[in-house]
Amino acid sequence: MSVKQIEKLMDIAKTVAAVLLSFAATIVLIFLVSSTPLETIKDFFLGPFATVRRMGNIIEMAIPIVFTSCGICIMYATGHVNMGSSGCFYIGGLVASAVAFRFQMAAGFHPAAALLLGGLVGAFVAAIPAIFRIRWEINEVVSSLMLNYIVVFFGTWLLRAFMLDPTAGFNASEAYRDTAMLPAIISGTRIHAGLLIAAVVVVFSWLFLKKTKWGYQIRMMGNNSSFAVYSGIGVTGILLASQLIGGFLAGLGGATECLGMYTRFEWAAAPSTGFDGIMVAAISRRNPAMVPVAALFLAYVRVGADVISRTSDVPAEIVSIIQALIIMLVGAQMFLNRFRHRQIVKASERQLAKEGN
Amino acid sequence: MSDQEYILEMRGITKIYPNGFVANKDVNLAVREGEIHALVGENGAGKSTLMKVLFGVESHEEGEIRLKGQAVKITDPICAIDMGIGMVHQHFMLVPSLTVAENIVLGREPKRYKTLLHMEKAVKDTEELCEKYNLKVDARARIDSLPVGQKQKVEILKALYRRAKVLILDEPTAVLTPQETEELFVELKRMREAGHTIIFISHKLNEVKELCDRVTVLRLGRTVGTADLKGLSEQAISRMMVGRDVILKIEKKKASPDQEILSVRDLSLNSNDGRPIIRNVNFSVRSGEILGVAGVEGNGQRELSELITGLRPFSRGKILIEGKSIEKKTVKEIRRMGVSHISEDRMTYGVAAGMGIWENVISDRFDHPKYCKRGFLQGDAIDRLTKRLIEEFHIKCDDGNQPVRMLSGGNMQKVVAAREFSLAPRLSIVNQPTRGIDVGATEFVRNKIVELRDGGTAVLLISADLNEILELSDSLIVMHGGKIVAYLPDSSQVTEEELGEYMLGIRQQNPEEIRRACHECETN
Amino acid sequence: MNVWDIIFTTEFGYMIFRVTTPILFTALGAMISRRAGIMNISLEGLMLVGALFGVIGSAYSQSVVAGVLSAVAASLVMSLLFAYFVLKLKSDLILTGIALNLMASGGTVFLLSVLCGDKGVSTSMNSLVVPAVELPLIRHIPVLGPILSGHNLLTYAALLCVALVYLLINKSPLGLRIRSVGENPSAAESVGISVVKTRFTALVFTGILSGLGGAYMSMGYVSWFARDMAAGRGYMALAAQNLGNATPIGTFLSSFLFGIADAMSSSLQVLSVPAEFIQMLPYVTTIIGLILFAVNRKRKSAKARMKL
Repeated sequence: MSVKQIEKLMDIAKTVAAVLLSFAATIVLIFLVSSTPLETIKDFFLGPFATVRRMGNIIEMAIPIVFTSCGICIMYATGHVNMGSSGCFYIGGLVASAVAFRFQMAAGFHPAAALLLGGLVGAFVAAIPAIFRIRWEINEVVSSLMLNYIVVFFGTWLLRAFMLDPTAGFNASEAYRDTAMLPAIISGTRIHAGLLIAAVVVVFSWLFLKKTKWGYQIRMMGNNSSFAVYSGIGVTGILLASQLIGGFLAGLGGATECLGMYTRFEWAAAPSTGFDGIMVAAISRRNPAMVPVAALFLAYVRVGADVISRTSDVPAEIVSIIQALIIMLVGAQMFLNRFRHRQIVKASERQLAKEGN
Repeated sequence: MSDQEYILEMRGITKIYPNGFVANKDVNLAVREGEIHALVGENGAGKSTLMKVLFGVESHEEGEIRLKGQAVKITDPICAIDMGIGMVHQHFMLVPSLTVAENIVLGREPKRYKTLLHMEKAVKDTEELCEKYNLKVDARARIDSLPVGQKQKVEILKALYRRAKVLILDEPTAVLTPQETEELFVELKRMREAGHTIIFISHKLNEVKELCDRVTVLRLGRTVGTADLKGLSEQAISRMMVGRDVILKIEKKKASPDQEILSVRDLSLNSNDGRPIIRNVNFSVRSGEILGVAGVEGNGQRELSELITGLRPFSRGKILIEGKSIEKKTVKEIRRMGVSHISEDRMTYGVAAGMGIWENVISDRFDHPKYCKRGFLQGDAIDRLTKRLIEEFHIKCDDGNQPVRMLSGGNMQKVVAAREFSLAPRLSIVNQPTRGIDVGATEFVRNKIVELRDGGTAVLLISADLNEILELSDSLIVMHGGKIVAYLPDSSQVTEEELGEYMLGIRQQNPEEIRRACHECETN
Repeated sequence: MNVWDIIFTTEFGYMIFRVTTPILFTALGAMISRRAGIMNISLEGLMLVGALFGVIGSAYSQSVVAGVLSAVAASLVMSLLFAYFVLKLKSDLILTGIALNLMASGGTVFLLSVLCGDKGVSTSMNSLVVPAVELPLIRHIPVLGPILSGHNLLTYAALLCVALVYLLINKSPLGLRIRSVGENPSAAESVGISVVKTRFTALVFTGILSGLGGAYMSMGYVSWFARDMAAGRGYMALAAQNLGNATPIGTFLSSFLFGIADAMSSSLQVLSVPAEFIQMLPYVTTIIGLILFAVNRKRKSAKARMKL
């Protein structure tokens, strides 16, 4: 086995170990708070597969995360951390919603226009921290976090001032036109056509990052920006492009979520999907091809938590502890480092022995 | 002479780095109390490693260190400091936003009320130290507001505050102006009078001659000898330093230079703090020849290569490639003109270490229609290219997907060479092409450079390695202090002694002789 | 109603202090982290955990002191967890911060739900508040009196903390070490200062200060815990120290700036301007502040280059 293969295997082993450790922590927690721990644990792990509806829930929940996460894979590949996906996601949903109820269009064309516009606005929002970075060297972590709040307040105002349906009974936009909505594609669930778009996004992101010259330049910049400059790559343009695409995908995700899962726009705050995307990107090690797996896993854990919150006395928020542990352990360089090092040393020795013969 | 006379002795020091590189082999250094002892040698002779061993930064495999006749173990810098050894690094270890006094007391702060920093005492202590050694520094000034010379004084004060008796100065004058250097020498002599012992590392023999009492010369990781400087000529030291062992003989036929490819005219560059780095440099490189740039590192060679390749914004003067100016051109545009570049800093500018070999070899051609159609990288073509280059350049690896960071230094450099040499460049800037790589790879890369020349490329070879420069170059220029001090049209006629004297600033040609480096002026 | 009629009232002045307090505590904590070279986005989570444990601690012990102490302890534990992952296991700074924030956001609701069966607020718990104090003499000064006096004890503590943090960072040996570790770790190592240990220590202070900020939220600002009640104040604190250039005084002033924006956002809602735009103020202020700061820095460095 080559060192490279060992490193890959160790990455997987680390992820599995992180998952197992956090599951262990979950079980301990359930024993601490639940009066029926064994049943609760069973519900948590098996509950999500108990009915078609719940399995549908897993997929529905994973769809929007796939969008933001793929976007983040592309944005983070440059080595710059833009936390604005949640704002992009929100505003993408809002703008798509406006298109969905305000305009009259043909059935096929209507969602396409709404989705495209949602994506474009998301791209616009994501570009702002990048421009601040390029122009004034402003730390994009702080600026993008602040931007998220501004975007949501701005969106709330747009909703209240221009989109509100007073008959809805709560702060929500007018109902979407039928032509705009993404149809359900699997009966018995609410899985919608967004699943297909998500699949396209995964393939696109993977191809883009790994197979196109733009993706190549983005990765080059993230790996060693000095070398990128030395090779003649224009790094500011590449940075901007990657943020635009990442923002577009997040905005597209928000739009898809709205048109697939809702009948009117009703978000009072940005959904957590932006941050979920960061988590899933971390678990999949920023590889778009692995994003669906990680997103489905996250959704599975969440559905499990939902199940036990209904069937037992354990609140669904237990899931946040699992998530946090997994991410922190997956991101920890030194976690299982000794084991990994030992494996690599052994392999090198074997290699040397082989060459000696 | 009894041992007691030596305050510090290093006996039979051998240091082997994990990659197998022997930096010091059986090195001896004996320093008398109260002397200024020069440690000289070419780049890579092992001076820095020896001092790192002494200061506890690196461990050594064999040999012992004796302080005042006692054998000691120095495990880390703190240990060295406690034993009264102080070091002034070439790159200052200072915190820019703190004041001089704060930097000096850092880690050993005087306290007031047992909790607070006693700033007045820190300032007073600093001022007393300044007074005692007549080092003029404003104790309350912030480091980032000080010129380089002052920063260096702060470093010296830091060592003195920690009661250093033995002070190591690693090429202290490299960053100083002549005036600052003069000041430093006065101060160092005063410290010697005050009973301190100083180890002075330098390339500049006139300085060594002026300042030091004795000198130890290292060459290729071994001690050449120690001598009293009184009555020793600079030429004699130079001979000790630059004698070379011809290990690698490169076969090459006589060059047949053709038309002029690179013309550098009246090029000058100042550093951000206004120091001249390159001063009015003129030369040409013709196709089919290797022009070597010899010189001790830090005499403007790096900046020269960065200017020609567009990595550094343009300065005063002209750089023409095949008659076209590169002013305001981007790195990409310059590369398009047929320029390739091997940087001396392999890990920063040579490779993206985390990426595969294939990704590293296409960085200068990924958008060529052969490798990229409608935005998509052409996997097959790239695979073929990678396979071909791995074969042609004997890159030892599992396959083209292997991340470059897993390769040895020599193989990494072969990846760089494979990329930079395989596009039949018109001009190749090759900076320290074989630094830190094994003998096999070195020979390979050098042969490739000759091959490149024979294919009609103009090669500008920058190297601090005398062997390399004399073996490879057809003609030579020597840089010293940012200037060209000599043009030697036929390197095979150059002796090491002669070259050493030019490199170390002992000798200089007259302007007419130097002017010959640009051939077009010759014909005019 | 006129804007000025609202702003030029003693109530508004009083309000500024009230809303600045939590940001100020946390911004001071953020500043110490930053000085040690750590971009700490876990503050949001630290505050939240502090707020919940203030309520739990005071409700179970029926002691205000115990409440504040448990808030501080909880936040400290989280901060140490952050330190352990970032400094020892070398986890990614941002990811760890996000993870802790998510853990805090969900974990507090989890605990709240387990302890009082409610996922929204802690009103069923009989928690205490830190008392307000009238300042003798000052309270009788016209205008200033009503603005400065009668605040929660923690508000005065926050102001005191500005002075203490100033002493810590600028006047103590530890502060000197923290600054050196943040600015040039290898210089610090070269004189025998352990970078990891110093950063750990800095994160201890960050934990304590954010815990106090959290305690104020649930034991002063209001008298209960509500889910996600930090509402971005942790991020805002991070921005405040950034804008204040990581100096104690600068952080103090920019926290107040955000406090004013925050106070305006809650008192100007009677105006005809849409509420959202007023609520945006603190965040917009932050971004504009960062831009102005960056422009100024650029101009300065350009000037410095011109000189040479």
